[in-house]
Amino acid sequence: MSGLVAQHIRMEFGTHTAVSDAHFSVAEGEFVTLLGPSGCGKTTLLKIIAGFLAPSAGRILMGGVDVTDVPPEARDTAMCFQSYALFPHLDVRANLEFGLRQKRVAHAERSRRLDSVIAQLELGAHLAKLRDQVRIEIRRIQRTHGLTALYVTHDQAEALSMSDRIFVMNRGVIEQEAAPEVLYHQPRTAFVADFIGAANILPVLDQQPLAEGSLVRTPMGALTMAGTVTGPAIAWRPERARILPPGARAVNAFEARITDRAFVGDHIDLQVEINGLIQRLRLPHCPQAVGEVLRFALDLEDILPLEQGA
Amino acid sequence: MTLNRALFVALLLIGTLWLALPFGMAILWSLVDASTPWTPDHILPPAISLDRWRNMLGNPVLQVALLNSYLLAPTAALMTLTLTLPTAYALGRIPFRGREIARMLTLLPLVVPGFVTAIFLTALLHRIGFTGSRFWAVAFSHALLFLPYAIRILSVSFEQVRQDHIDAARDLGASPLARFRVAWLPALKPGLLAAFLIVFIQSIEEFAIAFILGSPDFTTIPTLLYARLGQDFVRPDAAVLSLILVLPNVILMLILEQLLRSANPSLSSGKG
Repeated sequence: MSGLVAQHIRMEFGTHTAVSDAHFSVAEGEFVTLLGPSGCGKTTLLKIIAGFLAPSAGRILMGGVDVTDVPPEARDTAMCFQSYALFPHLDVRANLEFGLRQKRVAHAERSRRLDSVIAQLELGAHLAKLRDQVRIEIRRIQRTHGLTALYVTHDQAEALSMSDRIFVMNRGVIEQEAAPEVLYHQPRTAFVADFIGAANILPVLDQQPLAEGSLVRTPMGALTMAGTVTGPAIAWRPERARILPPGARAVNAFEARITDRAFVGDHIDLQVEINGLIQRLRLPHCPQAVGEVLRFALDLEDILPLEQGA
Repeated sequence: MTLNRALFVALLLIGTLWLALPFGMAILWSLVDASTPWTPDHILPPAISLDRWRNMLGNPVLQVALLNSYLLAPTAALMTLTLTLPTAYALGRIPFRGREIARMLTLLPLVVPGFVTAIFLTALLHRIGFTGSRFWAVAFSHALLFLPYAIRILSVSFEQVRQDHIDAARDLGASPLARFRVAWLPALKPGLLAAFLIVFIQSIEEFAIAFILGSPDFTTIPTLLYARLGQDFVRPDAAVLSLILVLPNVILMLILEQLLRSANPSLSSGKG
């Protein structure tokens, strides 16, 4: 498969809209992940691209050619099934050979390729079979052969570690398409902010421009942020809180009373009450116990502006 | 441990009473020599010979019945499969409203006694003006009669065909035939064979339709056997006939058991 273009794809099942207006392109050799909760339409979109579903509207282009009406057996795509879909009555070699036979690869060439793959498999069998390694292997093969890949998962760690770009889907809509780090640092909507990593999301009640940045009023209190916010909310990440030593002064400083404290190994998850509002904090250390008060501050850049989502 | 042992012994006893006793009696009766009858004061037949077997197997009437039965059974089984496949496909793979009710309805004919079906099927065949051979009339009626079993078995088989296997085959560029062979057939095969054998066995043993539609010109082993139960009832001859009727079926049953075991769904689940 060379580059992939999806033009205004829409998929309806009866009255239910599974995908609404998915419009994107994937460059040749790019690894893109469709990420979202179950029922968000990511698998439907994948099936439309592989040819198993005909979209209600929109076109699919591969290498510049419109393949919307081409059946899956005639599309140059290779789908890896979540269930693996191995034929149980065939052994490993026969399973591998099936695809080559259908593609009418000559016998000698077929044997050569199978021997080489099976030799690799036998080597790999001695290594630990962690899901991580499968992930790394998929990525290696995809890079080596310059394959255009579309990966579907609801596991954000998997998506973040493998992808060139991630399309975050929610209720049939692609809410944001961006590189993993951009998604984390600049989530476009509340859904993305919450789905990629953890986030405290606050509605914006009012904002005033400052000489640099702006001052936004939220239920947690007033916050100074670097830019301006055009949407209905802002977010801040629980791990971005900086603990303030007693008496220290800072912009965006808050007092928080700990209502819940959970040690989870490399960090501590806290539920804290700030001006009557429960928020999340994630700290490497925390000498305080439940009921005690700590002080923290947020940098201007850590206040993330959000737009209206789906 | 002792409970298991007790249960095992009980099972053996029941098995013996259920199977070995009637079989043993049938075998003993089939060996009774014509010269000295087996009277109740003897535990075993006083004189034993294979005369009855020789007579029976040499009897041209039996030979015709054997040939009829063993031609009829595979014909009926193949006809049943042909008639079953579309229905089973629909019940197994097409979701529609009332599918469960349709499934139950397909089983309903089983509660109708064979004779009732036979009597009215004859009437129906007369009415539609069927004047063809007795053989085809009986074969078709058997196919119809045992359809519910085959539909039941094969609709489950069709359900077990995995959509991801079909899709994977398509994705790899497989033609419809290649798809059928790699994704459909392995899941359907045990069901196809099981349905074939069940109809085969049932057809061999079926009496009502074979008798009403077939007699007097068309005889099968059961009609011959029942005929022997009439005025000139000869128990040793009936014993030979019963064994001829039952033995191949026992062997077929054992094959069926093996096939149903190999239809274990975990084998077709794809994951180890």
